[in-house]
Amino acid sequence: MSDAPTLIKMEGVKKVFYTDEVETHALEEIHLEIKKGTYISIAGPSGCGKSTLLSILGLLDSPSDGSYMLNGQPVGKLTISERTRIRNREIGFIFQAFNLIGDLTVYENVELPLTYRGTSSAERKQKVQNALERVGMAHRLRHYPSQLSGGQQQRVAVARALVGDPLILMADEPTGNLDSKNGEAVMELLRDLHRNGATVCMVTHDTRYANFAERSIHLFDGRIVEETKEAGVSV
Amino acid sequence: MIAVGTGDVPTLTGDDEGSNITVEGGPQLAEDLQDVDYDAVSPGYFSTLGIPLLSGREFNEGDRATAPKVAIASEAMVKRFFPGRNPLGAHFGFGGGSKVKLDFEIVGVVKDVKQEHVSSAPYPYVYLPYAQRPKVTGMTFYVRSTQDPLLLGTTLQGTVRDLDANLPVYDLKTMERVVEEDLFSARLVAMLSASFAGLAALLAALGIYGVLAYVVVQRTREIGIRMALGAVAGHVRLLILKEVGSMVLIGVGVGLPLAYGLARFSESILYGVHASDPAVYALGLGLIAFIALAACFFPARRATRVDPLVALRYE
Repeated sequence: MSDAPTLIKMEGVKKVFYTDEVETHALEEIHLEIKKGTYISIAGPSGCGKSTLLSILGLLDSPSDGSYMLNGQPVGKLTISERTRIRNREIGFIFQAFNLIGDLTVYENVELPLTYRGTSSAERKQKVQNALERVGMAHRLRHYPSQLSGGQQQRVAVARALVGDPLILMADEPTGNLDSKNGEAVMELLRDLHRNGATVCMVTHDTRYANFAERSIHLFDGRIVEETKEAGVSV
Repeated sequence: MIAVGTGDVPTLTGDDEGSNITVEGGPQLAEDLQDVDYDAVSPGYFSTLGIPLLSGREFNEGDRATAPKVAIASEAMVKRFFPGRNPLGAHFGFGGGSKVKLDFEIVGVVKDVKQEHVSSAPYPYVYLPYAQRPKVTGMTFYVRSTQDPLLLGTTLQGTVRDLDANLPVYDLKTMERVVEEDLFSARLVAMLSASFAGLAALLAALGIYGVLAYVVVQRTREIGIRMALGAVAGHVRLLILKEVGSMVLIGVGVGLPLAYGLARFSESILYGVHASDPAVYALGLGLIAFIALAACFFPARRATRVDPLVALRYE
């Protein structure tokens, strides 16, 4: 894996929030490198900056300072529309609350990123079918999210994240709204995707699930305080 | 002064005089189709009022009380009472039954004019020389002139006073004024309708704005998710436009048949209104579309400014 090209490189990334006159340093001096094909988890207690880091990694937010290179391209200071375009093409999101759109069917939900990309209808159909087959939800095409269990909804969300063949999957507490059985199933699904070559970056506060990743970084008060690789080995 | 003419029944005031008639060799008509309106007019009446003579002649000074009785028919009268035949020289009489004297000869045909009201449909009309009417109840003088109407009025009053100081001259007005007075109630209705329509449009705009503003708030999370997945401002605007489009379609589906029904009703009370006037419907639809677009402008702009991070924060 060490020979794999670098997908993400962060150097000295900071994020400061200003609320009225209060200055909150959510992230401090983050140095992070993620190679293609890596399965990395970001762990830490509540409020340590995990989700903020994932937001910046996923181009939903921009850093206050520092540099961020995605696939060799500096993306820290892009315009909103440029960030949106890269997010659509290069990043797949899996949210804790699934975030499927209730008025759309499973098919339409998974189709969304491709629609915004301008993919042709025939290609969309094929890709959506493939993505749903990969997560074992191809038999629920015409169902609405409310007709699915939590585990099934998260599988659909994974299919939506996968459908555009992104460079990296960003998962924010993907098991947070699931019972342990469904949580395990989703983690197995992510592990399978990783084994098939996907790069996965997952935020979790649950150490059981953090161990599914081959590499884990631990945040505390906005700083990386520990990094482990494989079987709990600290580096 | 260019021309002067008089008439017994003042034009465009709602007054009328009418009677059933019997036409020599005329068609068999239902009882309610045997009526005509009539007026006693002077020589020069038609040229003064600019009513085109289609055939025959106008009245002249020779059409005195002792001369043979003559009449001038309107187009509508000819269509009803003389279908397919030349009315000139034909005789008719006022009243019905076998004892009616067919003592009026038609000597001319004139174009239909709005006689009773501007909104009146053409109605069979016959003009008689006032000199041949046994009783004239009033007299309205029509004067065609290039002079300023105010100055002309003073001149006319002076002329009449010089002839007979006891002769009252009243209701002196221009024909434009006569038309305005006749259209007053119709214009009032139109103005009130337009005011209510404007109010309705304003309420519709406020309603659409309110609903869309609410929709945007309700769908903030969804919009955030869509933007997180790659929707740009144009996609979000389209989403809101679809929302307003469906509202407009439902409104048009319900409103168009209602509008047609109301227009059919308005046809009967408003001059120049046609229930099946496509330009009016096109204008109405265009206006509604414009109002809807204007009403959705701010909600759509607000929607495009949703921060995709809300998709995560809502968790």
